[in-house]
Amino acid sequence: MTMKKLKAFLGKNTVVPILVIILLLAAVFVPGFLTPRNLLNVLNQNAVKGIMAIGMTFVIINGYFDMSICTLISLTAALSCGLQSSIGLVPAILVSIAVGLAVGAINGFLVAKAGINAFVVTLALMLGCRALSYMYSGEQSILATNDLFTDFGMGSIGGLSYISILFIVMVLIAFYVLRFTPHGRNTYAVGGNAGSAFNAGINCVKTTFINFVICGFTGALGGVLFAAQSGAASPPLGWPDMHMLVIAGVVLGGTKLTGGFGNIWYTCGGIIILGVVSNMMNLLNVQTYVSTLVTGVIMIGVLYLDKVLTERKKKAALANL
Amino acid sequence: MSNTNEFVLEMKNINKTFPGVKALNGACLDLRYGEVLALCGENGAGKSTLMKCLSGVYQPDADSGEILYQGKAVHYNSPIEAKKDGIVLIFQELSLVMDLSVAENIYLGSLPMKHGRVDWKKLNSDTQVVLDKLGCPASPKDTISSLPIAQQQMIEIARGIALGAKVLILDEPTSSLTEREKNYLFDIIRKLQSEGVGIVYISHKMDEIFEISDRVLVFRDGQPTGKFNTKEIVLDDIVQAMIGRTLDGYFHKCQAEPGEEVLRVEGLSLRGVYKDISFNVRRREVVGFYGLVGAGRSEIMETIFGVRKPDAGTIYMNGQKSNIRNSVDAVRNKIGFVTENRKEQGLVLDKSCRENIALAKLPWLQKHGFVDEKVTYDIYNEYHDKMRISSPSSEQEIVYLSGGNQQKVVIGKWLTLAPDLLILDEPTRGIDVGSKSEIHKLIAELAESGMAVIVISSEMPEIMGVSNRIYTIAQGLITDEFAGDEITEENLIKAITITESAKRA
Repeated sequence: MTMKKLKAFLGKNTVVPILVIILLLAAVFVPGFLTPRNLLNVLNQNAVKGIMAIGMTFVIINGYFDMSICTLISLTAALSCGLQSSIGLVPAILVSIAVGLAVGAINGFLVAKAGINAFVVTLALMLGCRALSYMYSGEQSILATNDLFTDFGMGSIGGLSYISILFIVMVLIAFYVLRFTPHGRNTYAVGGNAGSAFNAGINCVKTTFINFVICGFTGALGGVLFAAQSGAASPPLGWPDMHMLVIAGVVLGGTKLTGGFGNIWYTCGGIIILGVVSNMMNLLNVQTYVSTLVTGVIMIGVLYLDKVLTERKKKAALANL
Repeated sequence: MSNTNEFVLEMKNINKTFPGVKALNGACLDLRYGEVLALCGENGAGKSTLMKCLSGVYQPDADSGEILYQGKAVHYNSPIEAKKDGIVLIFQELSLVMDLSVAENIYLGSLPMKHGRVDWKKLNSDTQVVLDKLGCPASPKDTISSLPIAQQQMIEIARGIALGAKVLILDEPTSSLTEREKNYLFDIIRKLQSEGVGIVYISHKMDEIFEISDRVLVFRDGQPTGKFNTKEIVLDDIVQAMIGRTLDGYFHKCQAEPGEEVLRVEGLSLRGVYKDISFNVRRREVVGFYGLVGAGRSEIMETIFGVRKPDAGTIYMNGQKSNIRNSVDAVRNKIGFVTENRKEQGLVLDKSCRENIALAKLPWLQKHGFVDEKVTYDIYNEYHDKMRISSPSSEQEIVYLSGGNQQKVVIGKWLTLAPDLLILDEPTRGIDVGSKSEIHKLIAELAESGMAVIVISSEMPEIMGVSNRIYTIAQGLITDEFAGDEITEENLIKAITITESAKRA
């Protein structure tokens, strides 16, 4: 790769230089950061969030966002833990996933077909899931009784957790879908310019609907995996800001909230940035709330930088005309 | 079927009625293979409507004749159907997905597949073939947003070519192109022509029409009024076919003697938008600005109102050099601006008539930091009578009023500030004929009462009907000024359609 090409690549994929800078900072200033064990830890700790961010990436490239996963995860965590003793592990997981698909389908129908604002729709579903979760669990934590379930949640191969492996596999699948399937390409077209997508004969309603269902799926799976990881489902899981952290990861990577631009690698980068920052704070023994504050500041910083870089690129392009 | 060999397209006796308007009345058009047919006519003459009927955006009325495409009668319900058949309409506004690659945009909705996955290799190589054919330097992998406008337009055309277009309709394709880019477009048109594609070229620019077209079809009031072979005619033939409309009697012209100068503009320039604009407006005078959409008319007025910053030039209000940096300054300098899109920029749609009409005056209606609501009722009552607004009550939400009454509220809102200069940009757009006449009458009355009024319009009868003086604008330049008897359709058309490249330097 020539220097010029590299520069163009970095200019377009701003998440790469930003991630490099943060990793360098962490490596230099945070003792204990640059050990294989800690790095694997970062991945293992953020894999579930990453899985949820995969579905969110589809919805955001499509030009919308989904807040309902915030409490959907608490509902599916409770269902998967609570049902496994009565109907068995696999059916319990299947029911949980089905609930996620149903929530995604309702989101998708209301946003794509009925044309209701995604903020309102997914907010309503978020509240609904929260209520259902509390009703089902009776405001009590539910312990997972099946050992297989918790073994999977806590197990690992050579330091890499099973969940991280699942995350990596799902990222590859998402990459394939976004890059090589008509649905993936249609998602970009619909998010970028719904009018011309429609004129080109693309079914915009179907595309958006499917993407919300995908997001419901990864959200539900996230809930199940959280339960497996901790061996229990607690009702406040995810509340109040899990959806925001997931959306932040996607957007931090460079995927545009306005739709039409982004990819799954950006999302991985964004999730890793969030993970590294929180890991740094941990290692430095910073108070949790200070850490949250720092995360917020970094988010604004990164997005502002991205805006400045893109504006400059745009100006340079105009000057060339 | 005798004409299959000669004509790619024949449209016979097409009618199209919109509520209250007969947009097309027995329109006909025929197009040969490998021919460039120029379509001329004023705004609203029916050119675009006819093309939209052809491409399935609109459906012609039931009593219309037929459309024969390659000898077969066709009827399209959507542009997608027409496109699949090879009739491609390229609008003025591009419809590309900005963040996707050139290749994907060209094959949007019909990407090549292999083993159930998008075949990027084939997509990019197919695209390269199309681009080479057009001589377009862009690479299939370039993102659309990184290309200059002219190349983006090529991509739109390339899309049509990739679909195997037999008929290509270009609606004002050069409006955002530079001279060099235009030549480039013309090269492509000639190339396509040599391959047998029939091209309909809609334009207002006469020099372009003479350069590129084989035949010219002129429209007026939804009917073809002239059909020529380009080689056999001169400019006047086209102009003669375009004019000849009778001016309806419903116009009202300000009859007063103009007074002292209110606005003087000298050498106003904004790079790439307008250049060296000088004019003046006096009290008791209606000055018209006539030109095509996009000629720079609105931008000049926005500059006077402080919304845009000019690169050079001075503006004098009432003889004093004005220093208007934003709209608040403009209001303080007693300038009122009725913008062209009243729903987005002129009104708060969910609020009542009363609240809307009192809006501009609100800063002056405060009592102890609160708005004195009582006064707003007085204001509403005053302007309700003065402007003849018909609204069931002062509390009626503005969104439920007719376009004409909405416009009266917008004008009334400015009148509450007693402006010296009132600028009206397309004051009767989207307003029915009866209310139009009311608005025109109001404009004349305002001028007679001592105001200086500027009216921008792309409707010729309107501009001729209301103005005492007219400046014509084309491509960001004032091309001419007409007053009194000089205001004729012929003069106006000539002044806005002749591209004066020399002046532009």
